[in-house]
Amino acid sequence: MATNETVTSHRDRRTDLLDPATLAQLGGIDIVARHVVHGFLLGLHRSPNRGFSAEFAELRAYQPGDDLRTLDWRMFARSDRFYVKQYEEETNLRAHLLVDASESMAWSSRAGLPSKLWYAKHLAAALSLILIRQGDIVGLVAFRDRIVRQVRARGGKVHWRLLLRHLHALESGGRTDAESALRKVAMRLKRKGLVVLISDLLVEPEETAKALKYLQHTGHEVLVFHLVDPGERDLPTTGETRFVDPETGESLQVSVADMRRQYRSAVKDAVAEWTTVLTSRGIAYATIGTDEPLSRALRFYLWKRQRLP
Amino acid sequence: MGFLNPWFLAAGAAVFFPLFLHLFYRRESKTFAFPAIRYLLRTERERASQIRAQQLLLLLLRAAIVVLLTLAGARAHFRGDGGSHEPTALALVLDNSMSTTAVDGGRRHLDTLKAAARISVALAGHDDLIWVIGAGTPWERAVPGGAAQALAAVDSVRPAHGRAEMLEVVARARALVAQSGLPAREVHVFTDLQATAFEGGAEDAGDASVPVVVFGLPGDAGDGANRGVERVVFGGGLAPLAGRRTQVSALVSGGTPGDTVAARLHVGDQVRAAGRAPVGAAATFSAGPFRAGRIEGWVEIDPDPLTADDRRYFSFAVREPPLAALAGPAPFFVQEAMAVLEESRRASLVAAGSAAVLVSAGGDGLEAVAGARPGTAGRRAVVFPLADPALLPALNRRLAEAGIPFRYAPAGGGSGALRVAEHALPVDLTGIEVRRRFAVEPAGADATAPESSRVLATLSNGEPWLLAGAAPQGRSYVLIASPLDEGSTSLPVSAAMLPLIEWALEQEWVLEHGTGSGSAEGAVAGETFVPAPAATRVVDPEGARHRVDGDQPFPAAVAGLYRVLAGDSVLETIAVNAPAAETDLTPLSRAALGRALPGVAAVVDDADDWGREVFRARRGVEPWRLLAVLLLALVLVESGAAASARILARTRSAAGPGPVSSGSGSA
Repeated sequence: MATNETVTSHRDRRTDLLDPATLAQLGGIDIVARHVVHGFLLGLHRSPNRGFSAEFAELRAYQPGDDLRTLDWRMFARSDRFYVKQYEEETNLRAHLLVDASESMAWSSRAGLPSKLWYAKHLAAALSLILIRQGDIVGLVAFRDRIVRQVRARGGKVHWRLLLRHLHALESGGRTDAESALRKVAMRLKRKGLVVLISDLLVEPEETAKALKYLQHTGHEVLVFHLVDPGERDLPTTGETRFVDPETGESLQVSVADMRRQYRSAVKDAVAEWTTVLTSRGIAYATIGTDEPLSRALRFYLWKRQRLP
Repeated sequence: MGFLNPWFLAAGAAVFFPLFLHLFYRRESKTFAFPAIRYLLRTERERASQIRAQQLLLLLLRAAIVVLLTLAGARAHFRGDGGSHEPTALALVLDNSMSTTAVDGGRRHLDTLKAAARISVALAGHDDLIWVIGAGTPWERAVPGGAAQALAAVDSVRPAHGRAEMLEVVARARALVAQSGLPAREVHVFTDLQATAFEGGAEDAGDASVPVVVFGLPGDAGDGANRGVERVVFGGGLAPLAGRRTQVSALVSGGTPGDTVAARLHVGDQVRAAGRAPVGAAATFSAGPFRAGRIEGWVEIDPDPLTADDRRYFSFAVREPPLAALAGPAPFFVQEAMAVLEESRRASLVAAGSAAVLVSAGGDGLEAVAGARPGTAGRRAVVFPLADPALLPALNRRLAEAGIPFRYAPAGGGSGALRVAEHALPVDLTGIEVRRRFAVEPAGADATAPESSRVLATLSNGEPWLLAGAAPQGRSYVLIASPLDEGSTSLPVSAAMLPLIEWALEQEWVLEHGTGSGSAEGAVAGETFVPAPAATRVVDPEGARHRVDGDQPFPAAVAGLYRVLAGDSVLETIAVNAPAAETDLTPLSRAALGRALPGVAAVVDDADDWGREVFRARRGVEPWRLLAVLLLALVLVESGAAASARILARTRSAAGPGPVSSGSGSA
C-alpha cells in the first residue's frame, strides 16, 4: 500500500517509465493507472508530437446542427457571432479491451516480478483511462476458454471506475481458448472499433490468428499485446527439471542444459511467426515483456492510434 | 589377446553402470510450473532424435572409456613376435637320442634342434623357469633355472647313444612344469619325429592340459637311406672253440631294398674279415682261429647319414672243447652225436668222473655230478629220461641227490603228438614233433620253480620241454622232457640234433655270456646292465673308471665295450650297442603325432616360425600407448559432447535469470 508521499513524489516523475515491479508497490490498480497515464501524457507534452486527440485546433462559424456544447461563448461575447471550437481530432473511438485471464497469465518467473495478468490488468486500466480521457468509449472482455467477464463500451470516469472494479476482480484460472473468445466477441460487436488483445498468446497460433483475421475482416482494427515473461524467453531454471503446464497439467522432463539454446530459438521462432502472420494482415502486434515499463505498450498504442482512419 | 592382470577384467562390469544410468536412472528433478511448455514441446519434437542420438553417443563413449580403462588395468596385450609373456614354467625337451646324430645337409639334426631350443631360451623372460631335458636315455636330472642356465644346459646336451621314449619324457616334463606354480606352463619338444620314439598310448603323455609345442624336423630328414648293423652272431649262436675257425654273421637292416653294403669285422684293433651283403640280409665272415679266452671287437658298415648304428660291438668267449661223458643207456642218435662231436674236436669224451659235463640218460652217472666239488669239472649235467615210465622214480631220486630241484612225472593231457612251439635257443627247434614226454615239475614242497631256472622250449600245449638252471651248489643242468630216441621225438632224426647236443654241452657258457654275445639280447645303450657280483669297477668305452657296488645296475650311456673289473682282473666284457629301433628313421606324420601326443598346440618345422608359436601366453606388445591415446581421445570427445551444451547453458545462466523458485508465481 503506497503512502501519499509516495504517490505525490511519483506524480512529478515519469511513472510510466517505472518498471512493473516498482509500479506494483505504488498501490491499487486505479492509482497505478493514473500515475502511468499521467506520466505518459506528461512525456507526450514535452515531446514535439502534439495533436493528441481532443486538442483544440481552430474555430469555425456555427452551422445549424452543430452541437451547442461546442459553442465558444467567449468569442460570441467578443464578436457577437457564433463559433464552434474545432478540435484536431475527433474520433469518438469505440475500443474493446480483450484480456486473457487464463491460468498461464498468473505465472511469474521470479519473485517480485508481476505476473502477466497483473501486467495485463494495469495495461488495460491505463489504456482505458487514456481512451476515456480522449473521449472514446471503452469496453472490456475477459476470457479464458470462454468469456468470463464483459463490460459494454462506454465513456466517462464513472465507466472507467466500473472497468477498474472489473479488472480488480479478475482472477486467473482455466485454460485459454482465445479463438473461441475472439469469435464470440466479433459476433457481439456490432460497430466497428478498436479491439485490443492483451494475452500471453499461449494458444493455438493458427486458430487464434484466424480469429484475429476474422475480426480484422469485419472491420475492426486489431491491436495485439503479446505479454512475455522474461522467464519465457529463456528457461528460468537449470538442471534436470520437470516442467508442468499449469493450464493443462501436461509435463515434460528435460535437461535444461540440453534444451536451453533450442528453446530460446523456438521462442524466437514463435514470436517471428506471430509477427509475420499478424502484420501481414495489418494487425498491429507487439511483444511486451512483463519486466518492461507500461509506457512502451502505451506508446505502441499511440503509434497505432495515430494510424487509425 | 592376453591379460597380465586378468582379475582386473572384473572391473569391466562397470560398463553396465552407464548403461544402467542410461536405461533406468533418472536424475532427481524438480518440478517447475511453466506455462510456455508448448515451446519446450516444440523443441522436444525437433530435438528428440538429436538428443537421443547424443545420449546414445554419450553412452557408447562412456562405455568405451570403461572398456579401455579395464583393458589398460588388465594390461591387455596382443600376441606377437616381440614383447614379453606371462611368467612361464617352460620345459625344453631336447631329443638327443641316437637318431638325432644323423647328418643332413652337413649339419647334425641335434644341432638343428639345439638351435631351435636356443630360440626358446632367447625368448624366455626373467620370470620364467626353465628345465632342459635330454630325451635320450639314460635320463639325467633336470634342474630348473633361468635363461642363462638353460642356455648352458642346451649347449651341454650331447647326443645319447640310447633311444628316446618321447611320450614318457613329455609326461615327465609336463609334471615338472605343472608343479611350478607359475601362471603359464609350456613344453617345447625338439625332435626328429622318429616314429619309433613315439610308441605308446596317448595316456602315456601326461597331463594334456599343458600345451606342447613341437619343433619337428621336416619329414624328408629321415628317409630310408639309413642302414645299421642290427645283430652279430658268432657260430650260429654257439661259443667259438679255441683253435678253430668260426662263422660270424652280421645282419644289416634299413636302407633301400636291393642295396648292398660293405661290412668289416674288427677283432681287437685289426680287421679280421670283410665282405658285402644286401640290406636286410646277413653278411657272413669266416673268422679265427682264436685262442681260448675272450674276443672283443665290432662289425661295421660303410658310413651313412646316421653313423652311430653303423658299428656293432661284440664280446665272445672262446672256449676249449668241453670234456664230456655219456652215461646210461643212451639212444643211438645221442651216442652218434657225441661221437661226431668228438671226431670234429668240438667235444672230448672222457670218463664220467673226469667230465666237465655229463650227458645222462635216465639219470645214470648223476652221482658223479653230485660228488664233484663246486668249482671243479663235472659239475654240469644234461639229463633226459628213458622211455620206460617205471624208471622215473630212480631218475627222480638221482636228480634229488644231485641237487637238481626238478622231478619227472607222467605227462597228463592225452598222449597225442605235440610240437615244440616256442624256444629261446640258438638252435632252431621249431616244428620238432614230440610223441612221448614226461612232465618236468619242481621238486620242492611249494611246487614252484626256482628263480635260477628258466624254460627254454615249450610245447604247443604250453608244457615245458627243455629247461636249464643252476643248482644251489653251483652245478648247472639242462633237463629235456622227452627221451631222445626216434620213437619219442623227431629231434634225433632232424638237423637240430647235433647243434642241440653241442649247445647242451656248452650251455654254461651260453647262460653266463648270452647277454654279451652280440645277439638281440645284448645290452642296449641308454639302459643298464648288471655287472658280475664280484665287480668293483667298470671301465666304460671312453676309459673312465666307475666304482660299482655289488649287483647295482650300471648305466650304459654310450655304445661300446665295458670292462668289468674285480681289482685289476677283468671279470667280463659287456658289449653295449645302439638300440636297433634307432636305425629306423621313418618320421611320424602330423596326424599320428596328434594322436600319440594329446595337447600339441603347434608343430613347426622351420626355425623362422618357431618364435611365433612358442609362449602361447605371450602378451606381445602391450598397446598401452594406443590405449592411452584412445582413452584421452574418448574422454575429450565425451567431454565435448556432454559439456558443449552445458557450457553454453552455464554461460547463459550466468547472464540470464537468477535463481528461481519452482512452482507458479502470482500477481
